[in-house]
Amino acid sequence: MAGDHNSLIKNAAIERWGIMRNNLHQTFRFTRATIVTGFICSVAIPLGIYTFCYVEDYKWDITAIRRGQTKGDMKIKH
Amino acid sequence: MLTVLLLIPLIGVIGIILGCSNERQSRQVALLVSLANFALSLVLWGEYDGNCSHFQFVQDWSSVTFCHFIIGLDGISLFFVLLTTFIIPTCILGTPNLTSNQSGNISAVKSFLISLLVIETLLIALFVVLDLLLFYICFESVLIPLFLMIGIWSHSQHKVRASFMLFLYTLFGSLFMLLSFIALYMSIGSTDYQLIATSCIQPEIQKILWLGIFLALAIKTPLVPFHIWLPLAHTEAPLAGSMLLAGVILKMATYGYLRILLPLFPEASSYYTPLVYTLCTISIIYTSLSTLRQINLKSIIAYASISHMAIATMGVFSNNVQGIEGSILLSVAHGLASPALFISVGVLYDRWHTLILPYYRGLTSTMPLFSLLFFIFCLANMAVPLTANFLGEFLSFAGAYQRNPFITILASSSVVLTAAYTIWTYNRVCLGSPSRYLYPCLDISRREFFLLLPFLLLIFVLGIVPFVILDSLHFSVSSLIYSKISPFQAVPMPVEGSP
Repeated sequence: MAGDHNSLIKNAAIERWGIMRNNLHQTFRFTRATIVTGFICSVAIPLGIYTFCYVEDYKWDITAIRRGQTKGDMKIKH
Repeated sequence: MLTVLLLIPLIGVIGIILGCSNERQSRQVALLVSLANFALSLVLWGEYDGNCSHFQFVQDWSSVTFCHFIIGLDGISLFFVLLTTFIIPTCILGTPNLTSNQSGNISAVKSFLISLLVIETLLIALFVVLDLLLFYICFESVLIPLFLMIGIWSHSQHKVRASFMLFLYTLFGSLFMLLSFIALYMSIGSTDYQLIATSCIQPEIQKILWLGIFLALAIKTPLVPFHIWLPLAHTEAPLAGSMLLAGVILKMATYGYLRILLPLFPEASSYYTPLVYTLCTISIIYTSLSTLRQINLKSIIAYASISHMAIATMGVFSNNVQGIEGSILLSVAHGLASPALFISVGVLYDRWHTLILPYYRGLTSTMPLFSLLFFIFCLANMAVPLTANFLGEFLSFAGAYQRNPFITILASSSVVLTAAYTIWTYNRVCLGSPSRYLYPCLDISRREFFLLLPFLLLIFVLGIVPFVILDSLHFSVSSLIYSKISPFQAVPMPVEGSP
């Protein structure tokens, strides 16, 4: 291959950063901030998106606008 | 002909075991066999009639086997088979120094090649079997050689953890898929796919069985929050393992959605689409944001894969032809771009033996040809026009937009986020002054160039002339959506005023 085994000059700080990044799961702790962030990202936002998705599912036909139609015609009436 | 496609890799396995005495011979046999399989799959594609929607090349081996072994090919499975037979030879070519990790141990080299060929047979079988139980068996069996590939032939310190996470995550989800298949068998009396497809399953039963199967496929896709295994598996796997995972293994889930969930459980699929769209949108946004924080090159590509497969899943559940065709095209395109990116990262790893991003900078000055190719594959990853990825993403979003415009607008933020992390990655790796941590090495070799060239050509050919794929898909996808006539058929919502 086009490179020998000594072609990288290792930097201790970068190696430590890489190890920290790979082992993030070992240093994770439940604190007030992580709990709030976790709740928002794993519960609140998905619930909000799901609610919005459920309400708006099959509700709109954006391609419905034609000559003489109004914007209200975009909404599919069941 | 399909049976020959399944048997050729196994013949190669026997040839390697019995006839090869050194690494070179083993690699030649494995490569020859996989290329022969690819050529045969191209012949299959040539013989395939794109004007009919039913299964072709059907072979029924039920009378000679203990199981209900029926195989057949339609437009949906054809391109997954082609992708598999294309990726396997590139995996063999992409790992030149198989003995370097095993101190010249020839049996380890043989085992590696045998596991690749066995994976090929199992993957092709998964895409062509017309029996749910055999689908499940192939779905699970792929894990075993993958587990060995990551656990043994990787040279990372977390390889055991990665292989166990891959195995246990997928196995956990597959348990519920098996329970659903058993429940189906108990109610219908057969696991034959074509028989079940003509049956009418009550919507309430569909909703329960759908959840079990979806869990397994969601873990395989993977969708947030079942995605944890993928970045670890990618970073710890050898190059061939990463290429297989990104190129074909993730497509097993897309195939499962198209083959099992949509046709067999149409009402449940329509009912749960908001849930699927939620998971897909969350996957796209969260993983794209996570990618911005990664410093491992393989992790970046792994998280990008999660985002792209979530887009394909949105297309699958759009309940229209554009979305489903877009999802299949995106799956194929991603199956080309992602392995190419892994090969590019492998080029860097072969020279400097690190995947940590901060080490790399200014490669354009020392490796201009590599930088050019890496840039083109980054463009493909970003779904830039003229690439097949653009068409796949566009069609998937176009299909999903017809279903739920506002969620699709939210999900299409992936276009911006993907561009952000991809351009930033390329910027950090290739641009700027040469890195002080890297001794200059040679540019990509002829072997590496010719390994990347097919991916490059295919990405652009399919991006410019997508009808090559779409023409063969159209009838199969149309029949998937429109052919089943039952009182419980979840037909696409008609536009108001249309007949």
